[in-house]
Amino acid sequence: MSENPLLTPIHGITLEDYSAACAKLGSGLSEADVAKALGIEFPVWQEVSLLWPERMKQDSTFHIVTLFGQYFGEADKNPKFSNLKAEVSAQGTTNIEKIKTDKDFYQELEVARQVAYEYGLDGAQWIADQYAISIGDFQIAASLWNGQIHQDIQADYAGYNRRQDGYKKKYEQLFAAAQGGNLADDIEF
Amino acid sequence: MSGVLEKIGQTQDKWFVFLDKLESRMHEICTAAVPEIREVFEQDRDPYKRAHGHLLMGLRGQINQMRSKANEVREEKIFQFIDGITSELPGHGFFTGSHDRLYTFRIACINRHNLFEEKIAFYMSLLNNAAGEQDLEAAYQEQLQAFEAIRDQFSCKQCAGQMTIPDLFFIATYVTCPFCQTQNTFIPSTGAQMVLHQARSLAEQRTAHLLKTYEESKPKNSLLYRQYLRSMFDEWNKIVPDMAEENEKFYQRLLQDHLNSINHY
Repeated sequence: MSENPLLTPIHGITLEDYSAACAKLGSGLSEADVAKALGIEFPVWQEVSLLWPERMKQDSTFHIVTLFGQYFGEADKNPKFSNLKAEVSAQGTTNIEKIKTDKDFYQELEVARQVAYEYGLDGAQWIADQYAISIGDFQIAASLWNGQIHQDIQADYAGYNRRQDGYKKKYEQLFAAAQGGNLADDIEF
Repeated sequence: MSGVLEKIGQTQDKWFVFLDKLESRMHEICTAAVPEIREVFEQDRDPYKRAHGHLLMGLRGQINQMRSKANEVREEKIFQFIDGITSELPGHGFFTGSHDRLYTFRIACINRHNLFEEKIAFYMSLLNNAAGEQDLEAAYQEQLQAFEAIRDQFSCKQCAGQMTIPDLFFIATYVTCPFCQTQNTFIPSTGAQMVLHQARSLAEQRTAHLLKTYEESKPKNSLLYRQYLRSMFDEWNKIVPDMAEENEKFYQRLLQDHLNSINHY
């Protein structure tokens, strides 16, 4: 048991369980499903989900929030949720698997999501519509790849930027074309 | 020599006209967008105002497209032009009128671009502030009134006895029936749940004058900041008294962060 009092379970729910529950909520499960999987009643879950973020706010070392991110990414391994999955299409299942195993696929969609926002679209919803990947699964992939991407940047910063720029241009063209072009496309030097 | 000077003059004119056009388009788009942003914000029933957020991001994205376009042109048509001309002029130690003209051209182009960036900052701010500040106090008072109107209208799921909800709850909460002691689950409305999420922002609105006083102090007066922080948390606790214990821990953390910071005197 950790000696850090901020890691003491809340109503019996550990940070691991709470983090996994948040990931599952993002993947399409309801709060009622999550409470049931954790073996607690709905009002108890709501209090838990109110108090864990408070612990994160109180922690000036950011240790709790760091652990939250780590456990969030490992949500699929949490036994309490092993038999509980949101309904996903066959295409969605394939893409969810791919985004967790194919780093380039994740990086491309991460850029696509950002560019979608820049064009006034809900980027997370665009990913869900196009690839049937929920925001929860996307965030799980993000926490799986973040460390590796950080290493890539340190190893080859220019190469990383070149790839990102390539994705950015591709999706800028895509979203601009869908909206009839950018508003200053006709202005030339 | 005159050919070089002519090319420099033409390029400068083109750069200025290009940025004029971008600024003119920016003005056109932003002034037309302001009433639309305000309307979407007011009509957006989503408590997180996502429709407004997406509209705003889309407009900011278009301004950023103009910024990127100007940056690319500056790189390709101005800086590379300067490099090209420089390579054609006599080398180091042979300063000519062309060198002087090239230098003033470079400074003029950079200064014009800085003005363009200032315009971008102005229009970004115009867009960001177009909706104005949400009146959280009115929304909060509305929820208090709505709660008063319904707090006595519940009956026990077991004995059907009339129940009164003791406080404005923001999350699902157990309420015990005074007749049969059965625990009933009370689930607050979306509006009541939003009070919890907006409590800090409302407290900040109520104490904004104190923060302003601190921010305007020269040099920054730490005592004024601490007065603001205490008042803000007092207001926050008044809005959600059930969170006072947790809020106090957060207050201590923010106070400590402030005392540890190097940016105050």
